[in-house]
Amino acid sequence: MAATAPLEERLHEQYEDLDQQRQSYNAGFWVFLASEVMFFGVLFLSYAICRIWFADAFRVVGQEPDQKMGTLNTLVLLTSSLTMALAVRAAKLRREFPMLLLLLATAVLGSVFLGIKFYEWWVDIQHYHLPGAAFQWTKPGATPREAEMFFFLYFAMTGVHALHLSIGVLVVLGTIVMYLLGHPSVRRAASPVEMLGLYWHFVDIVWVFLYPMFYLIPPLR
Amino acid sequence: MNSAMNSAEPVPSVRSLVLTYAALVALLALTYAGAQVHLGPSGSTLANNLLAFLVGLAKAVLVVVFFMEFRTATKVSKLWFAVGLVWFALMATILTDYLTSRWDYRPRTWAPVSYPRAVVGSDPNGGPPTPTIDDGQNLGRN
Repeated sequence: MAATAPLEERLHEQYEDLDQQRQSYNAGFWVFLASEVMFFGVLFLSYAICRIWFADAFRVVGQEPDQKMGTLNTLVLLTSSLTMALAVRAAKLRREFPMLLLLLATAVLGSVFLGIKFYEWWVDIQHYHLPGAAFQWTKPGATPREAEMFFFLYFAMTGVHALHLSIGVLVVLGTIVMYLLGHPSVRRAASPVEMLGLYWHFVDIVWVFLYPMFYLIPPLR
Repeated sequence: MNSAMNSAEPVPSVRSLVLTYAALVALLALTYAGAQVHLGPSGSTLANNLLAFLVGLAKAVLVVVFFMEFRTATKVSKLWFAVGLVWFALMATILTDYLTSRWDYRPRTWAPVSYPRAVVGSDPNGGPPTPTIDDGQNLGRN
């Protein structure tokens, strides 16, 4: 267990001091997040084009995803962002035990989100809503091709988001294990947990937009 | 106590983080409640869409500013945040093509197309015949 005191943060030779080192890590991670904006950006723009082209059809097909499930999942993910932000704070203050507990809570909440998401996908697949040869759509107001386009975007975007979240959960668990094993790279500095926090919050922000895009499409009234 | 105490690294207060979370949950409740009722004039979904988008934007701003500690980030980190936004804005210019060009060569079954079609020899002034666009998607329907 993490019984020993935290190790001193090590200054690498290319940096003037620890602050410059931390700030460089932070800036480097924002570079990665900027590239992630482009990664998700193409999907968001594809959605924008289809939402405008097939506006009437999306108002009909958009009623299919379960609004309550999506809202519950948003709440779960926002809560996980709070536990992650508190974990980063604990890491900065070198409070090891709260940090480990909060990281664990974050991983558990992330897993709950994924569980709910997998259940939703399973229900969608049961209803033949997975795009491909088996896709079926018979309701009026949208053609099968338009409905398939909606569900393609739905599965692609929530899928890529869930992939990011799965990676996040694995890295959080990996960080906890490395910490318990006393690995110096996580025990010397708060930076790894800070980076993890930035990643987690970014994935949270992506979902904050996916939620109204797929669950809150207003029907024509 | 330890090295973190004499470090210049800013640490957010528990209070600010919990308040941010409370605001996020309140916004979630607002956007969910807003989706249950029809806003604005009948036949228009603009007001509902606008509310959903603006609440999403507000949530994102809260997460960036307080959870990602944007306020205390260095200028270089802030610059890279801006770079992400600029890249997205540049990518979004692709909409100028999709929303202005004639994209009626997508399969006809996807959506009704109301553009006037060019017809061979339709020029009333007897000019050269206007070619039809054969894009391979008409499948003999013209």
